[in-house]
Amino acid sequence: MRLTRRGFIKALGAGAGALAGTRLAGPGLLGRALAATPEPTSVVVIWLNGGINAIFTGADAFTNTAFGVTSSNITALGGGVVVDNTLANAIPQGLRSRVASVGIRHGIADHGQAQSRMFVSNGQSAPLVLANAIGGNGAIKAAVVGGNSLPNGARPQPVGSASLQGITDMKATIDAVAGATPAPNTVDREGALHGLRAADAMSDSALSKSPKSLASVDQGYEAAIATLQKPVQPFNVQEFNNAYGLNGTAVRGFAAKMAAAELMVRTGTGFVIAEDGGWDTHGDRNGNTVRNAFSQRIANPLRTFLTRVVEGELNERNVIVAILGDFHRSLPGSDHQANLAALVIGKRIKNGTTGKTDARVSLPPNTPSIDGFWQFLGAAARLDNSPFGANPHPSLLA
Amino acid sequence: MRSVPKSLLPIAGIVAVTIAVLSPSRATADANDEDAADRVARCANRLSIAMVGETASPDLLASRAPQTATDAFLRDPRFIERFSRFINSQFNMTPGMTPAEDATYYLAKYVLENDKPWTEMFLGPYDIVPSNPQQPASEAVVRPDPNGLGYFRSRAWMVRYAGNEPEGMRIVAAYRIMWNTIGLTLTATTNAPDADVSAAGRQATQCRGCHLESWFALDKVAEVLGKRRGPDDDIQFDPPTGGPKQILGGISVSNDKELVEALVSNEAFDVNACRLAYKYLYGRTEYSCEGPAFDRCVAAFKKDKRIQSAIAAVAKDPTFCE
Amino acid sequence: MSRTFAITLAGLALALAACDEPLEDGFRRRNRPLGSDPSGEGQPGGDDPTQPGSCDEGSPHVGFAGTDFTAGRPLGGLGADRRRIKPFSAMESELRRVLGVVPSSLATSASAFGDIPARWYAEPVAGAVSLYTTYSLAFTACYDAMSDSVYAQPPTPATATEECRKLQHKAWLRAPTAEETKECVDLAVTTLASEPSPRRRWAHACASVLSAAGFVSY
Repeated sequence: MRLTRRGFIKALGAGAGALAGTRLAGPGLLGRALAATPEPTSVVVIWLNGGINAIFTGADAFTNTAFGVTSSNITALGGGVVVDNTLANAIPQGLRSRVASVGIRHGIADHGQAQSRMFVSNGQSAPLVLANAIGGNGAIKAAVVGGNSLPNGARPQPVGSASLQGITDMKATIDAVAGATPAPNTVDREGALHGLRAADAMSDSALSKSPKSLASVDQGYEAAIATLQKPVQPFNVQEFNNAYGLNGTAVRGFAAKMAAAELMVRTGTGFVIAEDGGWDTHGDRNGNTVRNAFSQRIANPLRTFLTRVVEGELNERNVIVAILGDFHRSLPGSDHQANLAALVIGKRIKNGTTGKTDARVSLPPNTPSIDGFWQFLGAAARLDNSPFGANPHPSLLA
Repeated sequence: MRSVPKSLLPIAGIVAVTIAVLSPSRATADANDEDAADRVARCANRLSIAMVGETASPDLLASRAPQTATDAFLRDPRFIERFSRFINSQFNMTPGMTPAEDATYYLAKYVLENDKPWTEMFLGPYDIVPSNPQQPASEAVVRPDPNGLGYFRSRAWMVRYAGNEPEGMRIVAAYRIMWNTIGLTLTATTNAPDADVSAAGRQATQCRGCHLESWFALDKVAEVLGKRRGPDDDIQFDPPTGGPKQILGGISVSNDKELVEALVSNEAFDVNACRLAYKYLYGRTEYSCEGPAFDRCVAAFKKDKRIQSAIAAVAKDPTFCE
Repeated sequence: MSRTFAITLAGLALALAACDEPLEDGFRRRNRPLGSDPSGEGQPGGDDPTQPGSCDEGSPHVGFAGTDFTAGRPLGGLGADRRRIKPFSAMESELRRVLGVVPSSLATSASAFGDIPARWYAEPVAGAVSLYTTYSLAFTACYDAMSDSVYAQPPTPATATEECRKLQHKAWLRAPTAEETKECVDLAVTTLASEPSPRRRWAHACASVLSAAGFVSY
């Protein structure tokens, strides 16, 4: 019998069933210490494609001087974290003490570079390293909701059991995790599991001749089979539609992406990214463009997600939400500032900031860069032996 | 059965063996025919899905020479729509915020529908504008404009890629023009956040190569485009000043039109056309061992500068089908 | 920081983060076994004229400032990485080609395969959900098409071999290998033996063939 990585894992039973806890003591089944978390953990990145105005991470740097910031349109959450009201109002009261601003001094003012490099740490795909380290019992370890790639079109190679899976339809995803309504001509999950295994086995020839162009097929079989091996998790599309004010099942628009993010968190996915476009707001000197965009598109779905998933499941899960973008907007013209801060909300986060800029939107020279952000997320997720290294923002964790 | 004379048996045996060696059995011949039929059917389906995104017709699946259908596919509205979308995704990082910002889509479609040379994308006398001037988000149209330069002088495109250089230099536009015509791709250098990104700052060692010294030196190319001026919600564009500049490795250029003329008359333009053809038909750029087929594409494209000729050369090449 | 610019093939620089990251766990993907590269891509090909190291790489194409604009091409043999995932737009016509029927649920399934904005193009990408959806759609189409009396009988090794081989050939446009047919037969005859409906067993085998890379790619 040909020894394959997937066959080895299957033989050891590492993928079977639903483990209630996820921490594995000592060396793992693969002979290496596995980073794991003490509770179901998910990191949800909300990526504002084009940039994130610093009024959402440290607004008080510009009071009465820039971006239309006044003392009446900002809220101090505590610990020096001051944000625009459009964002503050989206954060439930119960979470306001669990918000931090994390500085990232990356030196990048180019969109393509920023969108690529923000997701790489030590030469690897940081989201997949994180998802693999979180582990957990979700079949899909890392998901992009409403798309098939990271920002800038990146589709990284898998890391361990974590490959990037696109979630573009709620019903199709729910059918995969829960099964469709039974009917004579409707597929059953068990049969589909066996059938997809056979399909996978029948695909060797094609996959071996086109390993790059069909990589997503190879990874897709693995994730689909893992999904079908899990016990049924009943979800209802209508429940999500009602909660997020949706109509239909396509993951289109930010509200649908938040709904899909909730679905994936509930299935045990360790890393989810939801991207929203149109944030390259040149000329937005008074900040109105970003305020309007935030209040019209982002605020309500974000609030729903934070209420239902982060605050609502505080005792059961550790869900970390990080809001960031390519870079901050510079002054005077809201152009490209080669640094940023991420606003992070979660159970293990406490009020504090390493991301407060000066009035010129600059961060102190000793502010950590991209690696520091992922190191922080690893610590917030309470990874054993974090693959990213020590957290350079210890003051931001409870 | 009549008995064979003993004296002939060894010879008959030899002949029988010889016949068996030299002639395939009927079963093998049938299998070879089946393989050949499968091969052309796969070729037909590969061509059809690559060109128009749908299965080959039954006639094409049964055709002995499916690649001859390439010319018909090139006139198919499904191909024109699909290829126009493809070009838009190749020439821009993201979809435009308004239809007019997707000027490349509209002009590609126009060029294909009207069987124009591919150079018209970049040099043609056109303007891509919202169909309703009062509604910037209305569907866009291609209008004749004697001052047009492909889509490069369409306002929505110019504003989209106006850039934010402190002195108004259109460095982003310079890069985009070279990217779209000759496939130039550059990787931005990381700076310290407070680095000087002005013209003086771009003199720094890590910046000069891209901006000042290479044949594609962005600042030098941008000099012939003129400058942007005014706030982002009311950008104006001024013509270049200062006379001709020596750029692109020693070519004298005075303005955007001369720049584009120089770009599209260079070998690099022909190479990029075939690279686009490969990416459309193969989903990737050409590999090293596909060099000869790529060369045939470049030769075909040079004859009439039609992108259809490049695509046809690749699609009809024996290497396209297994 | 040292100068980082490079003249590259369009898209390669921007795709760096997505390409060729090392596999941390020491295992290769199933389709690229340790120590071998069946596609021949990137490996010296010895005397094989279709492989790098022995193949004709064509001519240089020299442009501005004496630059060869074909330098830096990725190494790869003829026929390497040529298969692509079929777009959703081909799914209806492909199911009709093979089965003659299309499930009604196909019309509402487009978004499971990824939404493409207006005036835009994206190379199709497969994933867990799209493959499961493909299987599900194929199962329904297969079941609906399998009204013949042969499918009312449980599959046997003989009947399953014949039906599997026929379907694989039709769907993939090539003769299957014995191993590939065996996977299909084993599914129908053995693995799904506990499925009480013979027609559903047949439909699963059919759906499996239509979810294999030979059908979902071209």
